[in-house]
Amino acid sequence: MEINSKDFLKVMSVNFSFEIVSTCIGDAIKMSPFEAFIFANITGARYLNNNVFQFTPKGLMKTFRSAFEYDFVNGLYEGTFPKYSPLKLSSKYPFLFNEEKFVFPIEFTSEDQLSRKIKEYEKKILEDGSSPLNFIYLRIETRKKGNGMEPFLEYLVCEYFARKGFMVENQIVLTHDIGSPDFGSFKIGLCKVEKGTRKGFHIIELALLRLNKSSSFFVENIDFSAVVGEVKTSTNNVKDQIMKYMSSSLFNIGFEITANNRTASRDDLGVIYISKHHEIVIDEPIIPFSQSEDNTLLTMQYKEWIENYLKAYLLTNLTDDEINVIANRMILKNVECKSDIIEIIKNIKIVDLIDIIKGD
Amino acid sequence: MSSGMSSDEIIKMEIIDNLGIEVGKLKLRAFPQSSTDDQVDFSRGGLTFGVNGVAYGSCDAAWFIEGVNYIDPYDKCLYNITPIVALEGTDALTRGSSGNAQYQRFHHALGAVKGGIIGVYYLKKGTEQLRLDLYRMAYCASKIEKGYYLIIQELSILNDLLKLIDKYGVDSDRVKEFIESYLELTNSIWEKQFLSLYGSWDKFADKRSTIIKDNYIIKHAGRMLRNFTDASQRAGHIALGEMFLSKYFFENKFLVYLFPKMTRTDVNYLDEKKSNDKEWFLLRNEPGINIVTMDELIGLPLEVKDTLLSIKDEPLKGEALSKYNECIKVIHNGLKSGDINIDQKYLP
Repeated sequence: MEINSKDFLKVMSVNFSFEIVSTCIGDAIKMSPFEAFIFANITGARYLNNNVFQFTPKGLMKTFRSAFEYDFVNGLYEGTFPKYSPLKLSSKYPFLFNEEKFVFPIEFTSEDQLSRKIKEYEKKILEDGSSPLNFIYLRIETRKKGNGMEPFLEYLVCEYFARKGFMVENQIVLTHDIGSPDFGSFKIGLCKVEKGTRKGFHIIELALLRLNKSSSFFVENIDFSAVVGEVKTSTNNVKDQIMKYMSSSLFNIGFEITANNRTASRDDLGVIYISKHHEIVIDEPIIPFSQSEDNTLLTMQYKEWIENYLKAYLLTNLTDDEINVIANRMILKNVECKSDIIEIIKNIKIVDLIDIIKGD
Repeated sequence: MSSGMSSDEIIKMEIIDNLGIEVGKLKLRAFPQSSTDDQVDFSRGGLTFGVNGVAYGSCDAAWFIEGVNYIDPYDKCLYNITPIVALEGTDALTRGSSGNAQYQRFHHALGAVKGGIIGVYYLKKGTEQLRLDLYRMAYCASKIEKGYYLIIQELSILNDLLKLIDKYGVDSDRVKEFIESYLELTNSIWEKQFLSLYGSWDKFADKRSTIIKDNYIIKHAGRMLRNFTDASQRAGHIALGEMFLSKYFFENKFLVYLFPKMTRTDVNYLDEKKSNDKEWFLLRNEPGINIVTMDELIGLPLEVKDTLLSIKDEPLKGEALSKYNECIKVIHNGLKSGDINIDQKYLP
């Protein structure tokens, strides 16, 4: 299927029980501000904070450039301290985390048409007495193959696996020669608890810990495992790409992700698709993927790097001054350069970091 | 690999945060990174500028006034939306771009400048230093072309300019004075460095792969065919940037752009297969320049040509680089002394 506005609403409601509400500009999905932020981060959906060029967190919530290394990309960190952390963004854009959000789709064929629709919706929302800042729109570019909905598929798979208890991430960080898979889910030594229930989580929720008072994280002893996936559109063949990821020996299962009902291209790969009833369907591989060599050491190294990766997210919950308090304790000085922050990330314990964040 | 937020999106976020979506009656146009509409001509809703059907790359943002008649120099048609400022931005200086890669986006706003609109190339401050050559390029472009070209590192300069334009009009003396003062200031910054690094144009030429003749200059670069056929390589963009540097630095001279590692067959291939490639099209159609190859070097020693042919498709590193450096020394000195000449057919 080519996912359109109606499909978007149905898929969100059928699979995740998000409420479809009727608003002054049509049907929308109601979400908590944190759910909405996660949604916008993955899909590139934009907050109606103006009618020309709206804010999206997509691309801002990244830390390291490459797995096994500690070089920052411009995103959560810039230089040394956190730059676009949710904590700092919440000061710059107070609307991000204050109230419930309404996520609605806009189909369009040109930027000019989209711009006119946005202005029209903004006017209607204001006339209704509501705040456009609580509305987030998802671009559905109908002139593109697949309506440009690959990021939305990434979100669906991430949200699905998060609700099944995994840590998830889209556009996951690997290495230059392997590439950047669209989706990854992990069983790691960290779990989220929300309202007394153990849950999985999107990795960026670690950066939201301080703002989202209803959740907390706990360390647990669990075997590491990882799943990888790649979104298939009508124009690309993902089999070779997934095989490249699987050949890295870092993942246990690989999935082809598609909007349409299909079978996996190999028996040792799985497929995730959306049924005609708008349900997310997971077809596991028929046979296990056979790794060509023993990957124990590599997996250990990857797990160690991931643990530091998680700490890089957690650290962004702190202000620069709070980070310097830790720095003075651990490296006996304020943070002066990137290597100082990296040293803190590598050496601080996750439990200690969580305690510091939740301490206020 | 993770790339984080794109340079374009960061710049646009900054623009909104610092300048807002309008400055008086000047309205902003900007698109998300995922959009391809920036590649459409401005008057038809995009962010690409040019003249006489030649597009010079798309910009990240533009400010315009509605309801004022405007003849677009790109297609000579009448529209009622007038572009005032076109901006190309980058945060490359925060990402380690220290060298001539900074030149690669220079041509994006140049289309606007050639059409008589104010072009701005914003290089956000970062850990790397700005290449001051850009100030000189913009200064000279402003003298030769119809519009003004500004290189800025602070959005506050653009904010001040937009406010002046809104208050006094884009063609007012106040705006002209502001821009020309800025251009003089930045040119003098470049000049100070030029004198300290080179002292004279002859020394500059020697250090910057250039030979100065009476009415033309020869600028040589180790480009190869793959630089223009492989979209992942930015060398084509950099070649274009360096071309504009030479063109504007030597504003009164014809430019012979020499690619010693390429042959005429390579150029013909690109003319045929890459006629729609923006960067190659600009290199081949910019007035006042000609591309020449090893085949157009009269008096080139055979052994030098053989060596160049042996490395023509090799990236310039290791042994290939050593061989190229030996060859280019012969070529550079030969062109200077007159032992080697460019085929007359390619000279003005």
